[in-house]
Amino acid sequence: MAVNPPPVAATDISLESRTYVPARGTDGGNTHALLYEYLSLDAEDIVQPGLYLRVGGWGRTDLADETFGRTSNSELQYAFLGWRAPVLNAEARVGRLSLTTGVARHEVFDGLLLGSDLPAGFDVTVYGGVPVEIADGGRSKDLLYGGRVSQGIAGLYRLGVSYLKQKNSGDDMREEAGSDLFLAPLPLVEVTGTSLYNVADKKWARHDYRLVLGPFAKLVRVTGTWASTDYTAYFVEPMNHAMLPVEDTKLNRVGGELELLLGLGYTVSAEYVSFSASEGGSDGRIYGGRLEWAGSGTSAGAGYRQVHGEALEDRYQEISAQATTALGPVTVALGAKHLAYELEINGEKNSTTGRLGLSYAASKSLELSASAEYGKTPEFDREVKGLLAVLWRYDASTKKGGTK
Amino acid sequence: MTRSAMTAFAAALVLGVTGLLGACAGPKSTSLVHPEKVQGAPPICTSCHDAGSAASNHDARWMKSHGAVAVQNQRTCEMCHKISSCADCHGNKEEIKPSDKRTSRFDAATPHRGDYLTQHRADGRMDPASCFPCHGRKNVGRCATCHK
Repeated sequence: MAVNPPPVAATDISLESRTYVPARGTDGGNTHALLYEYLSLDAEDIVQPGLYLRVGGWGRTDLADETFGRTSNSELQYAFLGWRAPVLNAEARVGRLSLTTGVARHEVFDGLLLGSDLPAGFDVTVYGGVPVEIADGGRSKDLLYGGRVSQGIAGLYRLGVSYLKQKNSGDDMREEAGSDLFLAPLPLVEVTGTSLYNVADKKWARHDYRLVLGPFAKLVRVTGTWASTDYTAYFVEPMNHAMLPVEDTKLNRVGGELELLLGLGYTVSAEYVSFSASEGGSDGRIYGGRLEWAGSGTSAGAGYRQVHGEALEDRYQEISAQATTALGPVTVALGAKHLAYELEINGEKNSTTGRLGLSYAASKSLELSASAEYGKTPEFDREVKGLLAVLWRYDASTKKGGTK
Repeated sequence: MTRSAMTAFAAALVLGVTGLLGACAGPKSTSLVHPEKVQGAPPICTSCHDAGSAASNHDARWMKSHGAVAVQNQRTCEMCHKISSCADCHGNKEEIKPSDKRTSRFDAATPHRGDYLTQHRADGRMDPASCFPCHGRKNVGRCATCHK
């Protein structure tokens, strides 16, 4: 009797190493030089089709003085085994997960995720585990779980509702629910946005929506934005005290942007944003414009922006410009930024920085780059920063498709 | 855990398991990796896909709009991007500014270019909610250098 052998998976492996050596020196200050190594591994179709592995993390050691209060640091960003079924996008992941779905925004936890498409345009995701420690007190009795259900028609709309709860040392830390929306009811009309509800406080924490119209005649695109934030419901402990809100402050942010796609690679844009806050917050507005140009292997842009807060200390003007060009395997980038503050900071009203970047693609898998930045700022009479970077990729791909 | 939360979680778990068990029939799953080499830098999805994919175009507005797309379908992002692409900016402990990692790309929209040490004071007072997604509960090591 002939027996068909089981399908043999052709494993695709992608390994990436990124080494960064940033260094910084200031007049009269410490010199900082650090060595970072970022490693990531993606493997597809391990042992059997649909089984995959994702690992990513970094480590840092100081080459000179202590930086950020410690001489070394590291982070395992994610490390999980996943499986995707041949149909319905049914999926399971186990390990250290880095998840963004609904109200879960870059949640990192050790646990399990299950998800699947369902009939009638529905899909579901549920997850749970022990969050990676972000506050003192250890991980004992820490817990995070939640889920999201959404329904939609591809290209027309998708509406999701989601829930998340987190416990810290056995105590409730945050409990959130929310919705997320994509809606494209007509050609060239698109609405996206999210709403976040603080279940514990029984208050809406934040609404954040964006309407995009165009580009009409491939020439004009208009974007409108609206965000409303209740600080006390949105900024939930534990967090850095710089974020501690003034009681009951609410901030409304309404903005718009007009882009003119002029052809030949030119784009002109103008932006206006208005802030209105209840007591404890800051009213204000931001407006500005930019001219951008993108050609074959070369791009350049310049812009002006004015931030006009209610308080004089929250007012400044910004002028920036940048240009990038590719000369064979070498890419050269130049950038400059000038800030003019309304009020002096440390006796200075101006801040100017300039930057030069060079990158050399030695091969398809090896790229070397370096950048240098010089600044004269209110904090430092003279600040010099540099960064060396080495990017190395290894791809053992058996498929003709894209690699990451 | 409250009774209602437990009920909701159990219901969602049942749905998830049902979906997995029901995976023996239904539309074919999307590929783990984008099946074709993506052309263009940055890629414009509607170059190949229909207008319904316009929200995912990596055009000039992408830096501001990508979050709303990601919360609905991280799976699509992962077809072309390593998860480290997200964690590079939104990590728990990230120490290098996104603009510093981009040694040869000085896009105006890249956060924290140049002297953000002084600029962040006004930006943070005007709209602290804009800082929170990356520097709220996590990734506050650099904040704590001064905000002890």
